[in-house]
Parts: sequence; C-alpha cells; structure tokens
Amino acid sequence: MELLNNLKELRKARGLTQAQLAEAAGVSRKTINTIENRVFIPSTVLALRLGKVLQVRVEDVFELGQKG
Amino acid sequence: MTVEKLQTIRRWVFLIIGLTCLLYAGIYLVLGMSDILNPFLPGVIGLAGGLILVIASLIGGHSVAEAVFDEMSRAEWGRALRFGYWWALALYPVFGLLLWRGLVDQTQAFAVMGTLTGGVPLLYYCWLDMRGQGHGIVE
Repeated sequence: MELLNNLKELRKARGLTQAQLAEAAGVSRKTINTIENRVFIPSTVLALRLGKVLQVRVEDVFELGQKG
Repeated sequence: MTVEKLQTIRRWVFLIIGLTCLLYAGIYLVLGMSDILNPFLPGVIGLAGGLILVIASLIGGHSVAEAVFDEMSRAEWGRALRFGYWWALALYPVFGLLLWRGLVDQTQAFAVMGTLTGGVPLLYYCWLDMRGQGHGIVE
C-alpha cells in the first residue's frame, strides 16, 4: 500500500501557493512541498489540519493506492 | 523574521557547528595536537549557535518558530540523530583498532570521537534539510 494525495490539485484549485497553505496549516513551505511530492507522510493531525484549511475531508486529500 | 529566514539561520548554525567539530577532529587526528584550535572552541561555537537559534526564534515569534520546527523538521532531526547514534557506535571499533595499533593516543581518540559524535548529526541534518528543498516546483 502507498499513500497517494491530491494536495497539489486541491491547493491549486483554491488558488493557494505552497507558502500560503504552509502558513495557514502552521508548517514550513518545505513540508507542503515534500507532502505533495510524496516524500514525507504527514501525521494524522497535520492531515486533518490540511483538510480543514482546504475545506475538504481528509479522505479527499489522501487515499491509499496499490503499489506495483 | 520569516519561516524561510529562520530555516536558513538554523541551517547555517548547524553547518558552522558541524564543520567546526569536523575541523577540530581532523586537525587533532592528523596533527595529534590541539594547540592550533582552542579545545573549548567546538563547545563555545555550539553554545553560541544555540543562543542564536533561541534569539532568532524569539524574534520570529511562536507561529514562525512552530512552522520551522514542524513535524517534518522533527522527523529529519530524528533521522539525523539515528544516523549519529550508529556513527558514534562505529567510531568505537575504529578507534579501538587505532589505539591498539598505537596510531593514536587516548587523549587524541577522546577528542576526535567526541567532536565527531557531536558534529556529524548536525551535518547530516543539514544535508537532509537542503535535499528536501529541491523537490518539486514552488508555485
């Protein structure tokens, strides 16, 4: 199983930059960048916070995908 | 003080402390003496670096400091510490061998191992931090 995310699409749809989303979620721009690029898997707390900032459910941001 | 500025300050502070430790260890290992660098230099640089970080965080305020020391940063610091732990353990057989062969004395081994143990996690964190900056396009 791997964790997929639609963070970049959702962020762009709301006209937010990585820096703006980072500020709203209380993390660094690098953290948003590495989540979007699937380098870093956020905690449940941060995932929920991102969903709250983007006004979507956490399942709309993150989903499980089959690897391979 | 912005998040990026505080991140840059942290990176430079860690880099300077790490390189000072590395330099001290290198000089002591190669030349076998600490006369060139003051033995308190790595410690003083480390304390000064910590003070700079505290002051910069206070100037930046709670939200900036929280964003800079967020969970990604803590995860990378954890990785750096884990690397530093195994690195420190690996130094024991290496310096045990060097001591046994008479290539270094105990004072030299103590000074080199101590500064390398302190400096390497900081440098590894800098590498992780800089590597993470390059992913994707900033929009």
